[in-house]
Parts: sequence; structure tokens; C-alpha cells
Amino acid sequence: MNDSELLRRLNSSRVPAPRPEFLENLPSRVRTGLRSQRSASSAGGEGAWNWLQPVTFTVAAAACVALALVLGYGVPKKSEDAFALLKSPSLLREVMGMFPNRVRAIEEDASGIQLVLSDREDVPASTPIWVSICDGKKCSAFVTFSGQELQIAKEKVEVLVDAQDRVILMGNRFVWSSGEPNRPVGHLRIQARPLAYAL
Amino acid sequence: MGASDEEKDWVIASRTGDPAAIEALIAFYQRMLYSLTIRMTGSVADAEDLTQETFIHAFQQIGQFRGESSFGSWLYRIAVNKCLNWKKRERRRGEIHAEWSKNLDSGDAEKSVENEQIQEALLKLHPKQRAAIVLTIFQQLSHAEAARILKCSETTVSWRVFSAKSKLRRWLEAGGVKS
Repeated sequence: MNDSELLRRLNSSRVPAPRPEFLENLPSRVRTGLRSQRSASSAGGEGAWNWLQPVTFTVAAAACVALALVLGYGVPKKSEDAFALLKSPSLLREVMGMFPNRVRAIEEDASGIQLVLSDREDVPASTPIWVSICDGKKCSAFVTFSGQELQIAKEKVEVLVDAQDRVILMGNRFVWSSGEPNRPVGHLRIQARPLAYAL
Repeated sequence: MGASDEEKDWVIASRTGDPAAIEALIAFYQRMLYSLTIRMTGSVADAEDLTQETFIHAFQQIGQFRGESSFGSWLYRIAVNKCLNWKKRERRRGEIHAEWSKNLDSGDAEKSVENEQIQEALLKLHPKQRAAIVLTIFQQLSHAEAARILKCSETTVSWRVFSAKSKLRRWLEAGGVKS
């Protein structure tokens, strides 16, 4: 095959065209992404401590839901069982009921609880996964689902569960598995497991 | 990739967050970016995500765009970097076939196979060679323009294109990429 034949074959090959709904929704999704980036940076992200830059992020709904739920369930006692509220099955069921197939993650840190929502109902139902990450004394925790992405130390990390219910966090520069929980990831301490309740 | 006066006005307005200007730039460049990202990843879903992320990154960092290159070149550079950092998820060989046959109606079974073989061969290339091929052959940029986007010398681009073509030729002559 000479060069011109190769070029002819390459140039005549086709790729799937962009979906009309993708093109139609792209400007609004970019605007939403820009707003969420501005919200995240104005909240005082500290260098490598930059949690969750989701595709979409409904701040207003998250704040309202977080406030309503905290008032309804009481203030979590971090000195006792940290993140007890986040682990509560009733919290997750309530949130999932309000936003079916849209909840990418629920995060709790020192500033409270936040929701990370998809702008489409494209989050498949699956066993919720608990992830907690501590950098020194600062800890955050998430409830999320297999296939979703978190941002950990400036890196996009995919959360997966294998057939043995081991949670795997897969980023560009590190991989962590609940099968080897003590494997160090820089200065981070990570715990993760599927939550033992159905929704 | 020369910029029209209208595009320059959009870029200036987008620095102030003008939604109409941002939307105009997205409408103008979305297909260009999508065609780059689908060739770099072979995945419709990843191409959509990377296109979206490229625009978000570009408008977030619009203050850093000095106009030394065209806005299109700048978008290409951001998109290529995102594609080079893209982590290919573990995929079964059949996924390209399933996704492409669903989204691409070539109407000709033999052509469908050829389309998939070519994409699988592209994905087999080293990412930087793939980027050089995609920019120069599929996006029709000169080696000089590709070099500015990839931040390397024109000679490096030429060498990557030469190496990539040799591999593609060998793989396609053998009837596609063997797993």
C-alpha cells in the first residue's frame, strides 16, 4: 500500500457524527460547568484539596437539600461516628427519591453536605459506595456509585467495584484498592467499601 | 486558521463572560473539537466529555489567551492535551463495534468494517503519534500548525507522522489490528 492509497483509505473513513442532543445541550452544559468551577474556587479550594468537579452541579438544590436534611436529621457528631449522617440509608433513599438516576455523589466535609447531580437521568442504579479520604486531620467522605468520577488531589479518579465487592479507585497517577487498604497513596489515607444496604 | 473579525469580537466579549459570545464560539468550534476527540478516543461518550471539558477549560482560562495564535489553534491545544491525559478505560474489543455501528450508518457492511479497523489502528498508535496523524490528516493542518499545537518542532511532527503511517500501513495491510 503506497502513501496515497493509505491517505485515501484514512480520509474516506468515517466516524459517528455528533449527536444532535449533544450539540444542542453543549452551550448550557459549558455554562453550568463554568458556574460550578467558579463556585468551587470561590469556596476556597486549597491547592491539592479540590473535591469533586462534576460535569454538572446544582448548587442551589444541594444547599437546600443539605439544610433540610441536616435540620431533619440533626447535626452529625463528628467526635463520635464521623459522617454518620452520610452513611444513613434513609438520607440516601430520600435524596435518590428526589433526584432519580441523577445523583452522582453526596459529599460531606467540614463545610457540610453537598450533592453532585448529573443534568440528565443517566446515573444507573447500583450499590452505593462509601469513600472516605483523609489528608492529615482533614477528612471528607462521599457516597457514590460504581463508574462515577471523583476529584482527589487534583486528579480525576474513577470509582469501581469488582466482582468480589472490592472498591477500586483508578486515577492517572495512582490506583487504590480496598483489597490492599494500607497501600499508601502519598499522604492520603483512604477507606472505601460498598454500603451494605439496598436502595 | 485565520480568525475573522467576528470571531475576534466574540473572543473579546467572552472574556467578560458574555453568554452570546461564548455560545457563538461553541457553535463555531464544537464539530471541529468533536471530530478531533472522537478520533483520539474512539468513544462517542469520551469525545463528548472531552469536547465539553475543552470548552470549559478554554473559557475558564480565556484571560490567558493572548491572541498570538488563533483561537481555534488554542482550542486544539487544550483538546489535544486533554486527550493525551485521557485514560482509556478497560474496554472489550467489541465496544468500538457496538458504539460505532449504533451511531454510524454507513449503509455498507464492508465500509463499516473498514471504518472500525482504521479507528482501532489509530487507537493502537502511541498517543502523540495519534495526535500528529489526527491533526495533519484528519484535521488537515500543516505540520507547522500541528507543531505549534503540540508544542514541538515541525521535524518531530513529521517524524511522528512518518512512523505512524508506517504502522498504520502495516496493520491495515494485515487486515486490521489483531488483539
